[in-house]
Amino acid sequence: MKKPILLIKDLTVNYYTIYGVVNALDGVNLTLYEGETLAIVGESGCGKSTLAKAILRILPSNATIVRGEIIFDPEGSSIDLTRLPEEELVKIRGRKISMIFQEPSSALSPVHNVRKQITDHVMELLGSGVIKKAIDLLSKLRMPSPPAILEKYPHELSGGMKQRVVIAASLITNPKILIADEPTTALDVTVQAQILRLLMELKKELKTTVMFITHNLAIAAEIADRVAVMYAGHVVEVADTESLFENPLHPYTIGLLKSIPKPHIDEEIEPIPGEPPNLINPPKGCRYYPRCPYALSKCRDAKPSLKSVNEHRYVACHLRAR
Amino acid sequence: MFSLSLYDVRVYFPITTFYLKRIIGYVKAVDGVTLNVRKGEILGIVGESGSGKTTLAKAIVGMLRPYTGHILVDIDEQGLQLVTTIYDYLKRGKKPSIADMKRYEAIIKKHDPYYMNKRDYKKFKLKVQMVPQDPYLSLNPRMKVKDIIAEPIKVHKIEKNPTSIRERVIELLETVGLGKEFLERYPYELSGGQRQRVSIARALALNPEILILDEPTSALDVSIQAQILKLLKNLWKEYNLTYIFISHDISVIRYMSTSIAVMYSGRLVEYAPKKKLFDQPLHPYTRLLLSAVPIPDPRVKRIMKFRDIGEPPNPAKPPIGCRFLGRCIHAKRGVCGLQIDESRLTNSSIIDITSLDGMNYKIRVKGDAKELARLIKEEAGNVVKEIKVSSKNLLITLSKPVDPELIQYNSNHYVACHLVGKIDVEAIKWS
Repeated sequence: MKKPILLIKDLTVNYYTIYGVVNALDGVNLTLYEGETLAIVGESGCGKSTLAKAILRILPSNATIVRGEIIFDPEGSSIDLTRLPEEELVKIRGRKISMIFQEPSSALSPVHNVRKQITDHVMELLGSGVIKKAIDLLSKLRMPSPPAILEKYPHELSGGMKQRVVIAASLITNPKILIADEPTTALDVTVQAQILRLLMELKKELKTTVMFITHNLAIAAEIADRVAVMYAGHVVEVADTESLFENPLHPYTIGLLKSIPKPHIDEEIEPIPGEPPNLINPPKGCRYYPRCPYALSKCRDAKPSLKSVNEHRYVACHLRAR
Repeated sequence: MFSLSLYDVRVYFPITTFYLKRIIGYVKAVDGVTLNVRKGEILGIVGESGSGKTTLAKAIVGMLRPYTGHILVDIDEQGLQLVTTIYDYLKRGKKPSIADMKRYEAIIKKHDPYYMNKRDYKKFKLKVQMVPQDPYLSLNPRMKVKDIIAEPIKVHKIEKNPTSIRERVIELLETVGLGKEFLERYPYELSGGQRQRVSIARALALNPEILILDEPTSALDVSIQAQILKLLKNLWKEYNLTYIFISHDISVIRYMSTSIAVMYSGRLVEYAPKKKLFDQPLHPYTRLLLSAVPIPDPRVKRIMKFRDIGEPPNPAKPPIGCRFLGRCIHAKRGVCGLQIDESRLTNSSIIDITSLDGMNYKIRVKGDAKELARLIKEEAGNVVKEIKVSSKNLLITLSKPVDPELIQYNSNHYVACHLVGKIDVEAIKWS
């Protein structure tokens, strides 16, 4: 039986902007199981990055967690991250739960060398063995001559190398959970493949749980055990990767799969008409309703909740309600 | 008849000293590209960042003058033959006959935008239009949509009276799937997809024959990207356009193109019709690139089998010979060229490497130049004939040219690799 490691319940996050209140996450329920790779897929503005930031409580100052719980290690210490005071939270952030960001050059400080950036924040935690551990990690990430790399500054490294440094810095504490927010979007195809492979190999070795945020369905298909599809602040479908791609249930997932050009076959694409809704004033019922080809009249007024279809498979759609 | 023909196009950016702006070297963004595009084709140009695809696009539309080489529009095979022969002749430092030279000049004056007179150049601008990459940067924030689209119509005096301009703008908006209600809006009121539609409408305003599309969807979301791709494909069919479609995304290239050119570090490495390129890629780089693409089918899972760990070369000091040398699993010593392993140098480092004429190279060195010379002698094998050492420079003379030339493998499949035919190339595994 799989053991849950992170439980997200009814998470709602608002951004307060000059245009109005943006409801970025609306009652998100999600479970992360130990040792798995969960891909969170969605377009920009669907709330996938907000979700990641809410877990670590690094949301910008105009955002608030309105309701909900994020429970870390629910079967053990069971800590609610949304209510944890900042002094306690620093013991989890970066140590139990780490994060890698999209742009490696903005994640690294330009005025500190690689050694400082990988080891400084964990000096007191790991002590003198930390340099050895950093070198070990860098060599596992196939960096050429790791001791020399430690003395370099970010501007001396290429994009792929910088991202590997970021990965090393985030994994040095052996975190339980690694949140990767589009870590390969800024990279070239071949470098992306390198990083994905190295990340997955390390994940296996360190037995880390990975939450992989991406807009690229193909990457999700390559590396994820399960996939959660998000749309306009809702999780619309959660399934294991194979069933999601073979038999998508939510109309948005179906539309998304039909609208991506495939690299391996010649196939006509079918775009989803329209654009994602404005989250200042989102549709009252199902947020996909205005674009959905199968919409029923009740979709306009009633919000569908995430219901289980079978074991480990959930969908939020009135059409699939039993 | 070719819609567009590139011959040995090289775009170099000078590196100058801070004082006096003395040119000390060049960044070779595009280094010898030869291509022919027929009418009605969609040529996909694919490559990673820094491979020179955008620079090439800018050279084609007339924004960046090539250092050498010709860009020829609407040229027949006979004319092209003449231009290439005489160009090669001139390049080797020989003098063609006066009659030939006159014919050559007449042809390039008529077909090459960088040699045209002003009137012909204006006509060329009507023919070739570009859709820029980022619709958030390319639309003037202080102009309304109607003015953005009407601007080229007014500049080129296609329509003169205001009502017919307005009608034309509305017609263009409708062709790209927007309506009258967008006329009075400013770019900030539009979403990314709508902005890109406005960009396309503006490019179509002059009824062009060739559209250069520089990553038109890479700033957009998946579902919006699909809408724009579909729109572009429909426009292509409807108006009989010719596209040059630049992208780093192989799936998008596969969906859009009829033929594909693969670029690596400023060079064209492979050029073939789509089917051939995807079924039997020949160049080791193309094969690497295609095996790095994630596939949206969980049954395949090919990323974990990806073994490469290299990166494109530093443009200031590329390998001598094939640019892919340092990453190529098939590379042969003494055949493909020379890659200097800088990590073996202890008290010297390379500043840059410049090719003087394909046979002679100049390497600028910081520190001990003799150490570098020893290393090159050791690594190069029979490629290097002679090394001259001065305090800061090394002058290398090769024993034979090692730059791989683009050769015709079969009817319309071109590849630039020394080892083509000598290495086994089984089909790429797509499933």
